[in-house]
Amino acid sequence: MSVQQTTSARLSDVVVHSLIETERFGQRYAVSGEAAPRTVELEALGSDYRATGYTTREQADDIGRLLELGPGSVLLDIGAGCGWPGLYLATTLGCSVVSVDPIMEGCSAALDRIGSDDLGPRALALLGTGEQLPIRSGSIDAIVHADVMC
Amino acid sequence: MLRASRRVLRPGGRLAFHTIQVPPGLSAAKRRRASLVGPPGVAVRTTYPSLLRSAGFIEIDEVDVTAEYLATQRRWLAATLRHEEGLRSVLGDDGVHEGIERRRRTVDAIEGGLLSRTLYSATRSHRLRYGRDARSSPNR
Repeated sequence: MSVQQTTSARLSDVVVHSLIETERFGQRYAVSGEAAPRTVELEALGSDYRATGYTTREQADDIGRLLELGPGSVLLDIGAGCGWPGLYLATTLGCSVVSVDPIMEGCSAALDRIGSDDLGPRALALLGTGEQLPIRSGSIDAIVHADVMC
Repeated sequence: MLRASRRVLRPGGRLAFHTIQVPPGLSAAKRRRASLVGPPGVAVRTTYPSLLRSAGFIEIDEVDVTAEYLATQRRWLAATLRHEEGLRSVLGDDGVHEGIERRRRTVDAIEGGLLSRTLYSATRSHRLRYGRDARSSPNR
């Protein structure tokens, strides 16, 4: 076994998340902003947030109503990737949002979107996992996540 | 993760999430097939309502959205095929091919009743069920 293989095997024992999954999502988010993937996303989900899952715009709207989001409420989006649907709900309903994802490329894309949508005072994108949330106890009004637990 | 969610929610705060599951009552062979096609944690045997109750949530509701999941997977597949050439320049031939095959397998699995998707919602109880919730958090 080479030094590189040994190190990689050792790191696989150290990190909580699978290195393969981390790499796969990183690669996915790195290209999700290109024209063709964005067109496909729009046709599949009705969203343009570099999303790659199964939550449609209609379902995001349903969640906004279910969670009774509005100005003044704080939403936490766990495993948010590039910001879908949390940043969308902040834009459409006026709530504040904390977008959390363990993948650097997803957080970076969410930060870009916060800037381009001028959501700065009402939105944060943080690196973190669903098990270890960088959030104060009792501070959140509502939580959303999609296909993170499976 | 649900206990971490409970910690950060205010009392009375709401949680809503979608998740993909293997429907109950399938044969062992079908469960194995579903596990191969679905996401890594799809074959969890504990039910989500019991997990939510254990984590201190009440007013638990669930809505089956499998029909919408199937429709969405079909749209992903159709859109991927429509824009295959453009995607190849971004994802490479192998990436597009693998993506299309994965979508096809998933559509087949949903149509065959091997995978379902559910929207769960629940409310954080006011009562502390776990004493350590009140004591252990470094982020309080």
